[in-house]
Amino acid sequence: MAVFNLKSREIECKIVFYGPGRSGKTTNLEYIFKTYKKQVSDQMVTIDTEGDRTLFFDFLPMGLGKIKGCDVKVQLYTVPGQVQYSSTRKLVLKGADGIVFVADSFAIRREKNMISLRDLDQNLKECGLNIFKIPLVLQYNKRDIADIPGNTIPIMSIEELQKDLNKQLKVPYYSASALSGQGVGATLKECLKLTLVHLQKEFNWAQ
Amino acid sequence: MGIKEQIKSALQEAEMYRTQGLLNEAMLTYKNVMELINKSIQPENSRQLLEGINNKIELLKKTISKYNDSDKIPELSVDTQNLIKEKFAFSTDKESSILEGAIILTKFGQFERAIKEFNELLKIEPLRLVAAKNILRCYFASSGADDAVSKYKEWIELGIFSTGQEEKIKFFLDNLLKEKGPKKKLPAEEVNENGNKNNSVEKKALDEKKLSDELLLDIPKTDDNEEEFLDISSVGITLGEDQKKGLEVILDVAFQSGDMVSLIVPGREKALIDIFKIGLKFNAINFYSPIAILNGSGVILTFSKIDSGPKAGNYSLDLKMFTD
Repeated sequence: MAVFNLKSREIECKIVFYGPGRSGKTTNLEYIFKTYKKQVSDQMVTIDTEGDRTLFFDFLPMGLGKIKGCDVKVQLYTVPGQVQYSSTRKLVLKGADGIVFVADSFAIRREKNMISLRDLDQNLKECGLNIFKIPLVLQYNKRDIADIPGNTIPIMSIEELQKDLNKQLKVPYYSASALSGQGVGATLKECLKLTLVHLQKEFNWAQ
Repeated sequence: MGIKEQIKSALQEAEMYRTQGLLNEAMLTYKNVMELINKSIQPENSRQLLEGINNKIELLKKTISKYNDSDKIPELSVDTQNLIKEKFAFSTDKESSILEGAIILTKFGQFERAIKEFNELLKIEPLRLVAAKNILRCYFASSGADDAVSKYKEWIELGIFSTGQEEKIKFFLDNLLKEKGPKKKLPAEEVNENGNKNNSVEKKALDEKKLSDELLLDIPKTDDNEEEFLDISSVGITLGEDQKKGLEVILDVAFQSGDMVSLIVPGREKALIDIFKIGLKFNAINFYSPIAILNGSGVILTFSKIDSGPKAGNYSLDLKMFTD
């Protein structure tokens, strides 16, 4: 839940990176941490297990500076993607103002993407939120694999991913390679834009 | 594509999945390659290749098993634990925030620190029973039933709780042992069997059956053991005799997690705010869901004023639900 301090004209919001295990949520945050040094206000906190699987969450605080006369702060979180960490996902999702759903483009992960999106819908409901109303952006990650010369790994087309995940939602989507950073900034900017516009309706924070 | 190309391509695919950390997918793909080889290549020409693939599968199995074993939750650094408390506990009222902070630590499996914080809460009279129960639950979840029973025995020997509190703690631990632990006899029970039977104590404990889960925390669960609970949209609490006799107060659900609902109490409802206290139990509650109305009871887990955000000035109330 965003916090708006009227006196100091400061707004703080929470963006959560959601998606199946190994889809690249942490890699997104790592790229943002490396690339947007000016905006990053503190160290990135990562709590992972052996094999680089996120155990609880990753956390990255950012300061976007003054926007429309208001100091905008953003807290980025990732959730653990593995199915068994459902309780932790709910805890991290609580109070989210915007969501980036990171989908895996590998055809073999098609079902996992869909299961994770359904899980997001369910968990948002439990937090009193609606997947159709919350600012949400889809990111189709690992698109770079398709560009490797001689690649034979089955990769879903954007059309297939759209049909599976975005047919009903009709939210903005981006192709990305979190490892190289392609599409990462665009995804985050879109999610921030949607979130801040959404919060303007709620708080009227912008002058 | 010829058979050699098919095999080469599938092996590349499996290796890609492995490097991406998709270990099960890698294993499945290697197994498919083995089938393909068995079907299409003469055994004398494929033995070496099959052996190589088999070694890769065995290695993957070991890695998967190692990862599964490492799922045991580690004790995090104090800084990270502080971050967890700061980011996931929202109460601003001093006592509630200490309690909430300790509960949040437990939800993240940080039992050692949580036990320390619950121990501090033993000094605060209204919270000591809750703290004691949570300490036992932490021991139970982290080091096992024996440590929980030892702690209980230590408390009894030290006599730090009133008789009423001891009874409630004993009843709680009994239930915990019945539900999840090995059969153990607690000191008070042994005394009873030696002839000093106190039926009224047992009866009182039974009367409080539904209170046994009072103010319990949620130990991190997996999907497998999470209880199914209908989505509750609002809650109708019928106030007791000594409150606003028989009046049903309807409150909307802001958040639900299993059998716990968070309700928003408008700040203008002064009379309700005076009534609601942590630990207060309501025996007649209607839980309204989109498909049914459930009857039951509930206990207030947390109750605190919201100091910031769009709901500032209102109160947040967490209620544990018990349906009939």
